[in-house]
Amino acid sequence: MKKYALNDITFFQYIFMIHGSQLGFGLLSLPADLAKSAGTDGWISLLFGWLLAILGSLITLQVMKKHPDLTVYDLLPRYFGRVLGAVMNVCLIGYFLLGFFIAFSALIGFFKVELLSNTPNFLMVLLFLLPTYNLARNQVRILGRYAEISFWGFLWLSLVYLYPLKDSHWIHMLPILKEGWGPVLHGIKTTGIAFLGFEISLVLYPFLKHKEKAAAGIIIGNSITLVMYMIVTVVSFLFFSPDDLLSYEFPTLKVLKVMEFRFLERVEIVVLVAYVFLSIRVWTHYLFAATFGISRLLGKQDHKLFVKLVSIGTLLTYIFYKPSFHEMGNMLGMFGHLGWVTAFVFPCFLLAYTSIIRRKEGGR
Amino acid sequence: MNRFCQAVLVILIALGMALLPGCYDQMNLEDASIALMLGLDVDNNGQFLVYTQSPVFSREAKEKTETVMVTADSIRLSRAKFDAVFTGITTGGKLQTILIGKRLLQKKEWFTLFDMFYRVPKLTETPRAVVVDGSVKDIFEFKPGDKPRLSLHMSKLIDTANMSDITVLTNLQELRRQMKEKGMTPSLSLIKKGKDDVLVTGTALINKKNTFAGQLSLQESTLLLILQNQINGVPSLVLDFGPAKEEEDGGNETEATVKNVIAIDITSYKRKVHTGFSNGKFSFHVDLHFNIVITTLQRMDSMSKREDKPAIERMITSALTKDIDALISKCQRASVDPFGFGLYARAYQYKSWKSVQNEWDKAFAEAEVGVHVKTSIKSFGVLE
Repeated sequence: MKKYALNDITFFQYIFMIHGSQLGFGLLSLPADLAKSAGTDGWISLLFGWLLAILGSLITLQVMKKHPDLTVYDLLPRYFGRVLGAVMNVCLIGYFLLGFFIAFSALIGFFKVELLSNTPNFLMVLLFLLPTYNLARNQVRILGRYAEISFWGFLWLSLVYLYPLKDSHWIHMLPILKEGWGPVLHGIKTTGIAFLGFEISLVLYPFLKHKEKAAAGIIIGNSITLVMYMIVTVVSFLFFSPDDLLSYEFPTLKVLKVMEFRFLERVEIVVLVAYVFLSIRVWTHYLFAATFGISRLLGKQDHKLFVKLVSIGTLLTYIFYKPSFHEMGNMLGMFGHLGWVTAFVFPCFLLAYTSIIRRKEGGR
Repeated sequence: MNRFCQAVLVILIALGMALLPGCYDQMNLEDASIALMLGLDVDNNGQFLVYTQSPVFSREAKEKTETVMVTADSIRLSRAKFDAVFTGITTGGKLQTILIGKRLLQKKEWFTLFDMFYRVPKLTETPRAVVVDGSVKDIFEFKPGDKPRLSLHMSKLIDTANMSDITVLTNLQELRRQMKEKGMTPSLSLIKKGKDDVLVTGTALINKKNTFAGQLSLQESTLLLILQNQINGVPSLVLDFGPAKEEEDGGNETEATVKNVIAIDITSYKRKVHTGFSNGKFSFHVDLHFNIVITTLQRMDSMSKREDKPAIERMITSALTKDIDALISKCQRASVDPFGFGLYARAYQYKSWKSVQNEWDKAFAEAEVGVHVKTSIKSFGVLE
């Protein structure tokens, strides 16, 4: 029963969809978040966060492997019965919707603060929603293509970050582990939100053409994310004084403010705009995962209608609800905690549960 | 019907698109008055003064720049007053240079005036921060006939002076780093209004209390850049070996016009800092290894042979050691650390650093700093 065979995605599309769902939430504030708890040793926390993300991903894969042709939405009713399964599906859909909304709002917030301070919110929402709708209404394969092409198309962004290195001070990194392991371990908590997104493979897995490569793909996807984060984190640490780093909300952008060419100034604006093309992946993937879930839940074939409904809902929400910049920050933090539960605890629980059930069945 | 629906949809989308561009944040160039240079100073009554200069894009205007001075309580407030005078709306996004009067640097809180530049994303952080020895007004009123637009001339002046290693280049972002960094004190380019020109006179030093603490000459600035490891290209140094006496016709000895001088180019150098801590004091040993090219041997006729290379190397080494030692002890006396030795203290003696990090200026004043110079002459030029 190959339900999703017509829409399978290649190995590379899988990698970049995982990576694309991750890169977005935390990138702009990551260096400051890390430095807040671990100082310039924050990069070690980042490594640990990456290890944890890989662990979570592999556990997820172990669960999905048992039924290679089912998404999590088909899986839950199968194991927990129709009612309980539906309730869990609704929770999961809620989580993805929240992820969509928060990632989307966060970017609107950045734009409002950094670039278009006078433009009303709902116009910006409209501006970003149109391409989002256009992308999310398609099937997985189109999302995968976008994820891949935007990765290659915007790889030059990481080269831009080499420029501030001319004012770098490697000595900021020393001494390594200046306060011991405590702060470093504490810093792992903040990397959670940065690596969130790999839980998308709960939905993606059945679409993957070559399932034997799934583990490799998810590790590569996580590692690409790690490299991106590592670049911005280390560059920020080298560039800003450790005594001053904490006073910036978005060191990732601030570090580019010193770029100045004869023909171009304020490169950070260009980067911020390019960044939209990347982080649109985060919320479209979440939106897709959620609307796809709704269509499963209601037994519909097409999720287009629900994308439409959610988009309109978002626009309406923004007409009445105007979150301040700080509220968005808090929401992001809250979602980080929720994400840990969904991305780590939930797969672990599923794995344990499915193993027990299977053993029981085997015993019979 | 279906086609009609589609047409309506297309029109709706087109209308929507018309709304979408950032119309709310647009600014027409004709409406903008682009401040290229900003000056901050204090007058005799302690009143804060803000100067600004912007180019005028008009064929009818005789003067191509407009300069305005206002008194204000903050830079942001001054903008309203500028708008009242200038043709356009003042924008600070293209600032090139910020001139800070030396008198303003005597006020402890001067740096808080700059808060706006870091807070408002629309402003740039690339303008060069420059200290003016004297009144900022003199510079803003200066209209050189043989120079480009003053505001562009100023930024070019500082950039090229930094390129030839005679002063530091501190932009706003770097200034903030140096102000906030516990392990160092800021250093800024220093300029002065001469009779018919503006000249770079070296480097201004600022202490941990955020006030002006002294200045360095051009050659000292070069040495500072060497110790900061911020050298661009090939710096030149002129080493003076005492006043030469010359006999006039009558037999009287007077000071010579042509002095005993060796001029060198430092083609490359290595710097290594060893950090130690003992008896409650930090100690830094700086190993400097210079590869140099001799560019002038003035009045050194007796030593111009290649066999004298070791002797000349020794002379240069001792002269450089003396100059660098003098520079460091000058800074220690003034309790400033523009070199950033505190960064080394943090990196290599973290435990001891933690207890003194908030009063690094005192700790540095007491620290032992030794310089060990090694020079190797790579070339005497093309003269035998």
